[in-house]
Amino acid sequence: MKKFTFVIAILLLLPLCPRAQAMEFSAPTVPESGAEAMPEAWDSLGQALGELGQKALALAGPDLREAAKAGAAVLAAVLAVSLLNAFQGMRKGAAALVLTLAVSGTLLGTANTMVRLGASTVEELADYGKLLFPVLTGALAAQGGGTASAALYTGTIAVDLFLGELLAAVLAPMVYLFLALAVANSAVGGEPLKKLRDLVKGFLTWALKTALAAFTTYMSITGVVSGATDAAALKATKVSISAAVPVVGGVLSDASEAVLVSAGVLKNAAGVYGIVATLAILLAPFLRIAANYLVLKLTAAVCGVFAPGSSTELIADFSAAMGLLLAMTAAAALLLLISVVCFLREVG
Amino acid sequence: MDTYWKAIGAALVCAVVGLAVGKREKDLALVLSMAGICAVAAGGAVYLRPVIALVQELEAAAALEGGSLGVLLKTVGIGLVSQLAAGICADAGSGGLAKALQMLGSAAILCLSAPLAEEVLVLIREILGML
Repeated sequence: MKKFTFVIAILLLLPLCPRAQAMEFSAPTVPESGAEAMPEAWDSLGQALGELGQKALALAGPDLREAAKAGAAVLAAVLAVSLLNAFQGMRKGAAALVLTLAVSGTLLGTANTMVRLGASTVEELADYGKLLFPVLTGALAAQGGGTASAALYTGTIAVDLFLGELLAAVLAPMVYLFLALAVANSAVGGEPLKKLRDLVKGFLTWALKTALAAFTTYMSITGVVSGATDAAALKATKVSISAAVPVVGGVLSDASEAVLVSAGVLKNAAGVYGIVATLAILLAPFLRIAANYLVLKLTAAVCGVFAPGSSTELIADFSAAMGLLLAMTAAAALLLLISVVCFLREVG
Repeated sequence: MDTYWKAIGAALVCAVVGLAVGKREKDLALVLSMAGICAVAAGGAVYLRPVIALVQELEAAAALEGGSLGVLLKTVGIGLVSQLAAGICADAGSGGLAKALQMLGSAAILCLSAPLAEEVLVLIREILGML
């Protein structure tokens, strides 16, 4: 508490210091994981985003190839065992169990890697936020907004920390629970397991949507994010975010308005660098999880043609888990972006 | 599609002839039934060849290691053979034997899947260890 009071006091006194007003505030360097995707030379936010897009295209190829390998393995397993689907009785149950084991053995490893990747990305974004916010707070305080910066810093860091912890420590491990129930449901079957699986998925979706809604409501109440932007650009952004991110795409697209509204007034170099760095941290993991999500969706659709039943449902569940991970990483990044934008509205 | 029509023809002939001689020579009818089943199964095997080739192609594309697809194909083979044998036993009036064969098939399938279950168990332990 003493440390916190000390930081607040320093922030309030900062504008009084003449050297602080002339001080250059530079954003923390992008962490190693985002360094590859970080644009090398850029003058404006638009240019940086363009280069990020180009890097995304280059990164998507290998990710899709890796995901396609897992899809091919699952397809081969389902195709091989689908012959036994014609039989009734014990053998069909045994075949379903073998198929569940084969699909789980192929996809659990990938899912484990993706959950860890998602959780570490959320943690990295939160850690980067912890380094970036003090810089932005300092910049805001140096421009004479000591009280505003302290209030903004306190509120944003508290909400960001809480949501970051919620995503990485609670929701990401719950994806494992969802997958465990999905595998058990596919192997054993039965209504109770199915209901439990749906309950966990429902809870995850609800928690993600509520966390995002709470954050955007908090930001709206503070009134930091306001203004008007080009209606066509806003609509295009909303539609693309809504389509690209499963589960929370709708909520994220609403929240994207806040980012877009403020994007036009961004001049602070540290803030713009922070935004580009956030996107660079997100880019590679998001594309990797998205590639698995898309390939598993396609595999589930193809398997559904010749082997409808528990195996196809299991593949669809793995795809849903990837969707939840996509939603988590995208939500964490957007929370950070909105927070940065809130500071930049004040800093200019 | 020649094989398909030939297999259907052989099955129908076996069924009709078996019906005709079955009243006097039950043993002969059973042999005819077995011959029909073998002919149809052989026809089915012809059609399964491209499917198995496709599965192997997918296995190569996925760069799978550990031979889990081999286990699955063995499972399919055991399932099909035990089902056909159980059908013949049922035709011969040995319902109990048919059930026993079905059980044997299921047991063999479960036994074959043990290495797969072990692989999944290792993955689950790995995940639990990280939580």
